[in-house]
Amino acid sequence: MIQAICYKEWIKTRGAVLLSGVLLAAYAVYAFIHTGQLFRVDGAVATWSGVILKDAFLLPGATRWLPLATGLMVGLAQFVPELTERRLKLTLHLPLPAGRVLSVMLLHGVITLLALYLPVAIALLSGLSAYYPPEITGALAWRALPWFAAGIAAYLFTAWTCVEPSWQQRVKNVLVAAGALPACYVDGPAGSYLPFLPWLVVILAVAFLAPFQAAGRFKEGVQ
Amino acid sequence: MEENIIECERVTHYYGSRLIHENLSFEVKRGKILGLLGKNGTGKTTIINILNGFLTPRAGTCRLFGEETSALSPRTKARVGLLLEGHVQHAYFNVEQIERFYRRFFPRWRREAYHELLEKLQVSRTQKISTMSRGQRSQVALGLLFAQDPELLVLDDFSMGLDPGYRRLFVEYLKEYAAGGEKTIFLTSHIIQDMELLIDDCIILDYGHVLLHEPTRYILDNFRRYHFSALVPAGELDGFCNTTRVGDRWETYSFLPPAEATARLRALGAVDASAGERLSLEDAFIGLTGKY
Amino acid sequence: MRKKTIHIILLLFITCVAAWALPALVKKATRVPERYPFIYYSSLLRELCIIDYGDDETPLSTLSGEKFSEAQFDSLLPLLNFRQLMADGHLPDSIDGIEITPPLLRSKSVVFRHNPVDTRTPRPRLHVLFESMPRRVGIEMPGDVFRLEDRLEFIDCETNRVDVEKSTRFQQALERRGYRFPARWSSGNPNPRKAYDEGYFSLDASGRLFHLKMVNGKPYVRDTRVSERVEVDAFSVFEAADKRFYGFLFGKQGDIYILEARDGGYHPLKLDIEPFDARRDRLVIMGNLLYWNVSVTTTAGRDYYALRTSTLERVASHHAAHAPGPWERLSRWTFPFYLTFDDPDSAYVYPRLHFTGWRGGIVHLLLALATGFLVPNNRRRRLYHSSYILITGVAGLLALLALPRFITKNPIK
Repeated sequence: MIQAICYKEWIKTRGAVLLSGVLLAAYAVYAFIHTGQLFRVDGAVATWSGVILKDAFLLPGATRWLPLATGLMVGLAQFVPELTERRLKLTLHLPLPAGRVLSVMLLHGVITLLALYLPVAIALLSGLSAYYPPEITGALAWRALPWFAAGIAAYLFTAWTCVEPSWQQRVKNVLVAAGALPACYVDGPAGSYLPFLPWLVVILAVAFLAPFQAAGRFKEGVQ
Repeated sequence: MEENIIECERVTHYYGSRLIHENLSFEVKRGKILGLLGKNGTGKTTIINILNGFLTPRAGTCRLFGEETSALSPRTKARVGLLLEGHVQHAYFNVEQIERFYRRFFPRWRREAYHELLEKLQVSRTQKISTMSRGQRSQVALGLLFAQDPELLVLDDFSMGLDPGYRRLFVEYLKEYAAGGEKTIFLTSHIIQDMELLIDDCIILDYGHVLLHEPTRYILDNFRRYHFSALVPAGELDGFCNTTRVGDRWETYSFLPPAEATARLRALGAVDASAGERLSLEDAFIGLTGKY
Repeated sequence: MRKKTIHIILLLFITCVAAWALPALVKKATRVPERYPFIYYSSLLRELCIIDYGDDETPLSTLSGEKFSEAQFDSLLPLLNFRQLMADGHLPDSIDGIEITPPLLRSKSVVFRHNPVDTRTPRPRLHVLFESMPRRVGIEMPGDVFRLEDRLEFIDCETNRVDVEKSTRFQQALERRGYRFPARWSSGNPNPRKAYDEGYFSLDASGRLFHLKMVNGKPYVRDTRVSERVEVDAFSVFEAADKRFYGFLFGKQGDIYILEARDGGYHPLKLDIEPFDARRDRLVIMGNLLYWNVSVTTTAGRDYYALRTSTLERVASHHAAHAPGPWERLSRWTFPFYLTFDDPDSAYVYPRLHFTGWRGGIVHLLLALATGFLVPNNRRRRLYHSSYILITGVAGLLALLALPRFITKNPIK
């Protein structure tokens, strides 16, 4: 039954997943072209010293918002069909506990996003480690981590907003998400987010629970 | 076996401050086809939502197979087939995918029932549901319900948006489905004509309360319309309902035996009272609830 | 998980979001920079003077209120304004009996800043070691960087490989001098725009401060032996033009030293100022031939010191109290506590709770009362909402507003 739910979620999201995959792959390719160009034009010494002395960020600017955009896209693709015509009723009427149905749906989305993000991250880090020492690639990874977390949080907040039955409350949910997500975008030098990691986990955990609140309201018939 | 499949007890519900139902109680026995009739806004969908567990009433409880609807177990949900208003289904699937999806959930899945129904439609197996006509979609939804083979069908406004052909088709399939006497059907519809052929029992809702809960046969046999002229304006007619003036004559309805009804009308000063006229369910519904 | 539990988790979460986002917005809308006068020691008046560059008539005044014109300003502060005096041809031949020349003045000029954020920032784990005495003018970027943790390694930028030969050479040099790995920290001034390079000062595992630089491609390592006299907290390399000292040494007791280069040794010389907290206080040093002007900004205000350049003994000091800005005044009333994720004193991102005093409790109380009496809901919820607002204030109110059922017009009795 869980497989069947995943099948349904896949059918809904495959377009968005494919598009996200293409965008992320294009992004990774661009990152390599960008790095190659840095080394050819500025030279290795200037590039390295840019990172060490000026804390330059070596990846394209899209690193900041691409995870967010993909999280949003997958979330909308997965949950807008459930909100239109209140199709979620069909889903929750399936002979499974409602909580489990929603958990499977959310986990499906989170795992899908991880499956999109991880290969890109691994490809980038292993590819860039040919150019840079582990100190630099490590700093890159730490710096980009909250942005990828923001992608997953955006996905979960999208689910929360779509499952929510009342429009007024949906607007409020969007405002809360808009208030919470910037916590992943506070500026700082590479590595400054390290002490925030436990709090990122808290944000993700809360974002994972939030759709259950909306589903509870949906079941109560709030309008 | 007289077993209650649906039981509602003293259900009260408001939307905001607007009262929808007050102390509504009814039950549906196994094997019955019950139609829930009522004008727009009398809370038909509210009852359906409560029955499916998608609305918690302010007070009172509803039970399906003895289980409270606000917390139906997966086992019970598997025994209930649900048709949403507008034949809503997972429209992003195609004909084949949706069958593949649902069959994993129901151990008694009858694949052939679905395909039998679908073969009559002019659709390919890979056609997406969202690209189908309303009528075709209704057949997909029905096919899925039959394949699920539930003991209780809850249908919310099954006739909505269907042309007469599809409506008739739908009714015929439902009749066939319920023929064994083991299946219970609870349905609402706007088009009462269709229900007459189908439903055993009738609940007629008025704003805030149940007007009538009787077997359909009883209504068709006993509820009659009378026309008369009156010398004096007709006052409160005991035993009659919805007495209205139509042109220069009057019209009224009653469950009274025809002889007694005409006698009473005459005694009240009615002139030229007609014999009790047998009614279709739709006319009876109007007689009971009024045109407005 | 139960519905109520999720509700409470969301409520707390949104309260935190509001306790961060709302004050951040208000702060952005109201915050103005701290305003302190620019104060400089006049070698002629022998006292601290206030300089106001915005005042064209009388840019200079003494702390006692005596005002001076622009021309007087230039000549009363010749060490600050020597470039202007030179341009006007008014540079005196000597000050305080010391013959002065522009090159001498330039070589004695020291400008150093310390920001608390420098102490709390992810330290770069890779460093650049310049040739300290380049044969040609100007420092060139080397083709490698080094890491100094549990060993010292040079990595070639082009190949991204460890330069084994060079690494071994430097590693052995460190070991020969008694450097104990792993390193605690290393501090350098990897800015190529300077005349020479003093390399790095590194605290080894045993708490001793070592000096490491590269001279003609060869390692130069010395144990400064400073740790025998000072408990070293941090070090800031400063390549002084006159090569008098190597940089600023921060002791664990809040004392600041310069590490003087005399007789081939390293000698700490203490700045005669009040204890300094490198983690919170800002330091600006503007030194000239005769006096060092030191300003230390703390949360309480700014302390100004004039120190004699030769001995770093205090000759004058002044305190300017901190005047709360509009944000501080407002936050005392509206946000008795609030959250921030960043901090001017630290580059690290994590939630910090700020407490501004009890005055805002009045606002909490008013909001709680208004909620209790004016917001329609059943009695139990009113009580719960107003108690929550009493504790959490505006943030809690926003969180309750953001969640359903704060206002219920027709509550179930």
